[in-house]
Amino acid sequence: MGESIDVAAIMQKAVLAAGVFHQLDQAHTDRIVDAVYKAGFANRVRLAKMAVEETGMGRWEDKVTKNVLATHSVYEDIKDLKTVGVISEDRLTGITELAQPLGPVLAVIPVTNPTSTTLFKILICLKTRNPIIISPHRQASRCAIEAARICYEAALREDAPEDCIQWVTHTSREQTQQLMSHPSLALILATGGGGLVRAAYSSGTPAIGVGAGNVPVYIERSADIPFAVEQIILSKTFDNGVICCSEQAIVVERAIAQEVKEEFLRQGAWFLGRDEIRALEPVLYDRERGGMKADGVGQSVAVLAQRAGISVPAGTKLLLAPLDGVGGAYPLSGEILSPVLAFYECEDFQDALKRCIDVNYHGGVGHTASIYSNDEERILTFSSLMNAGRIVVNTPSAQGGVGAGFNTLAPSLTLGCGTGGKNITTDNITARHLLNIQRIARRRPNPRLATFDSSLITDESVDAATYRKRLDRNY
Amino acid sequence: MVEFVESPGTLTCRFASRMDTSTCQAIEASVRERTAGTPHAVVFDLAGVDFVSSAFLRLCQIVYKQVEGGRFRICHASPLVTRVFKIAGFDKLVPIE
Repeated sequence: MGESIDVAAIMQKAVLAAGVFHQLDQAHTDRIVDAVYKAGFANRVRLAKMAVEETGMGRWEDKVTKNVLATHSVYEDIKDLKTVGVISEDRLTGITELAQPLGPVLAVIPVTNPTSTTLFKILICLKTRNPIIISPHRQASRCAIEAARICYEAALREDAPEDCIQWVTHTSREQTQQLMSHPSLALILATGGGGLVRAAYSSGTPAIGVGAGNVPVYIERSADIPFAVEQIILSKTFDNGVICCSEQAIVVERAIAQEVKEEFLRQGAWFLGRDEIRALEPVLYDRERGGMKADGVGQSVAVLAQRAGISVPAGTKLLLAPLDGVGGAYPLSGEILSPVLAFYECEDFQDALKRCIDVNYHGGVGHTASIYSNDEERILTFSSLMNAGRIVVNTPSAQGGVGAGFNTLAPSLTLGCGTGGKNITTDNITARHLLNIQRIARRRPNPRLATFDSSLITDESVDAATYRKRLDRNY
Repeated sequence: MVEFVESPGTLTCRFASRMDTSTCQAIEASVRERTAGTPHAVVFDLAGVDFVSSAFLRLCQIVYKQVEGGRFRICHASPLVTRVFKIAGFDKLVPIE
């Protein structure tokens, strides 16, 4: 059951805010963004602790890092971006681009990254002068709304439009649908589970959604193995593995498998036996629904081991499950947002590539793939075979996929997964995606048309080659 | 900040410059008082207005509801302010000239 919200009133406030926003110039807009970024950053630790306390997922220290990404890194990325008025002018082509806001944006906030996603979406919406309505997952509503409240108060202090940030909580399915399909809503930023993203796409309102991940990590034989293992552990243990672009399956050639295994053991990981895998599966995987169990998300190795009734060495950071295949018969071969990885040994490069494709296509199409290699040719071959918006190289994929720190991808907590993931883009979503770009097209004569005999257009005897030849004559 | 001008059958409210939140808070009571129960048509003259806040848009909504029978209109809105009314959907309720 949801609390009653007045969808019409919320949307009415949002459209008023959209109207007022339209009058703001770049300097005023940037002052608001600057103030909101600083307020979010100042509350990064408190909000992180609130998120862990409310959701029971992840590690607060890592959620602080995500809040820093969502505020500092995002701010650094967008602060100099022109988002008001003329944003580019090319006298040669005669094209001038003008940035216009979209209008009210509904931001769906996931339980796994609630405060960071809220801070991130607010910053990119305010930068583009779009009012935002925060709709958090019901298990993360308190912390997400607190993040929104902090941002809103900071924005108002800089004379932002009233109601430029609103929030709803515990909405019923019907109310969510009403919001999503409201004629005044301009866009849905849908970061969440598959059902919710599908609902957003079905609403008739433009939507930027995300897809699920199932990230294969290929440790190719030219890789620096101790480094690769260190990076993978750093990534998969980050916030207890809740980031959707975190690693899901290690793929190695048999020639280096033993070395990789020993390195994982040396660095604090633990390989599960067949019985232990069987014991862990029901803790993490719901066979009836055919997906992850919600209460298994973002849990530490100690908690998972205790629930599964298996014993692992004290201080174990990561569990590895050697598997023979990918698919429904192997529950741990799909997306598991906890510090657990599938582990595959393959005969050779070709076999390893096929295994990576299997993992990629088992629920992770369009999302992210990872490779550790120092062989450029193999990196390219691997990349061209993955259906992934991001292929991160020699990089922890959780941190690498969201940009900032390890590469120059746009810092983002909403990762496009392309058409494979039923999304419109493979980009890391940021402020650039929240603008309507108008193009003023000035007349530029085409000199090839000056001497062209236009009667050829209707002459059926003229083929394409002749037409082109005549068009290019004397040119 | 607001000047009231009465002519036969019409009460005109002339606003000046920036209708930001604090300005609107300062004038709201007097506008409501003058427009409540008036038998005249009410005109908001925005000739001098270059910015309208959410508070001003809400004031327009209030007056629209107070002045029944379509006797409320807005005139001399700048192109930018006209666009704001369009985005807010006011043009469907109130004539904007």
